[in-house]
Amino acid sequence: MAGKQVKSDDDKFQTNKSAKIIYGDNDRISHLPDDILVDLLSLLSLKEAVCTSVLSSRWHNLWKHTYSLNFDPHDSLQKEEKYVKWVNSVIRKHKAAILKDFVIRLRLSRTFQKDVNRWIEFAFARHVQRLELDLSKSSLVNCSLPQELLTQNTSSEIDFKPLKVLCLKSVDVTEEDIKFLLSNCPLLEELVVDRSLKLLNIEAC
Amino acid sequence: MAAETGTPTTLTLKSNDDELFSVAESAAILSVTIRNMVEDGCAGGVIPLDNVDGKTLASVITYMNGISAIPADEEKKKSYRDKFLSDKDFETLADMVLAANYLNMSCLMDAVSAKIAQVMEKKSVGWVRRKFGIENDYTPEEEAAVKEEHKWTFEGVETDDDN
Repeated sequence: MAGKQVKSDDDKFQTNKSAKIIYGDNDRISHLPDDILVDLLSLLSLKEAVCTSVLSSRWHNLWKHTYSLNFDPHDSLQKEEKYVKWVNSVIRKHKAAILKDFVIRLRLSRTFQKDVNRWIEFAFARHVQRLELDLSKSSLVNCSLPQELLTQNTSSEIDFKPLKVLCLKSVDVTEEDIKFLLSNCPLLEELVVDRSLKLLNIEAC
Repeated sequence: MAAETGTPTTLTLKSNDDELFSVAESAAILSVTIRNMVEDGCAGGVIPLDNVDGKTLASVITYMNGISAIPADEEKKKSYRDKFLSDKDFETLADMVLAANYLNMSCLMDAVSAKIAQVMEKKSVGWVRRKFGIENDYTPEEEAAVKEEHKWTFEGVETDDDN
């Protein structure tokens, strides 16, 4: 089959815009070039995109290159621990160099601050354009942004520049965090901060 | 060019199974691939489109004519695209997405991809395999291993029902 190349070695993922349909084979879709299939999978929910890995070996690794990671909890993942394991397992496997969307939505307590830090760092290392964290308040103490990330001396892998939309709900941010983001995200068009327990004042010019 | 002479310019497109189609240049240049040929002065004779068969090209030309006749109204264009794609089967959609990619027509490409994704939504693995004619080349052990790898994702998902 056309896509054997992506089964065992992720590094062999290649785009091939000139791939030709092999007529006589009913399976037209599997013969589409990788980049088209990845576009297609990016339109599905993350759960559905991951499910396609079981279709055939052609599809095994395609979902790992989607440019949208929307961790909407499905029924079976309502529990915090399970959801956190799911996110961690996905970001360990995901390969896309650029992320258009990274969305986390779950009631999450501060117990998982280290995981949240890892996710935010992952998103910025993948040049995220839209980052949404909605950790719907579940305790008196919210998660916060990783302070070590919000300094001028962060590793070169972290890239704030492409960020266009940042939505933080039930995530504690300080005035310094906001100032840092405003001065380091030149393309930022939309900033939503909701239910932050630490942000008392904001002065922007 | 049409704008200079006052008469519409017609281009002749040739599919990979040697069918010839006449199409107004103003509609054909929705394809960036064709527009580049026109701008480079390479569109005087027959334009061969080696990656598109006659059946698909006929359909793409219907789309080109239909969408270019609609004035700049994104709502109307969207509703034309939805109607145009509503009766297409999977084989046709897969052929069209490939043709749209080759012809560099992003609006058609996005619409067809969205249509395919919409049809795949909430469908079982078995349904998608059957509908797209995808041959399952995993051994039972390999398939079980893939499911185990993503066990959270596959919880509650049927792999061979019709829904």
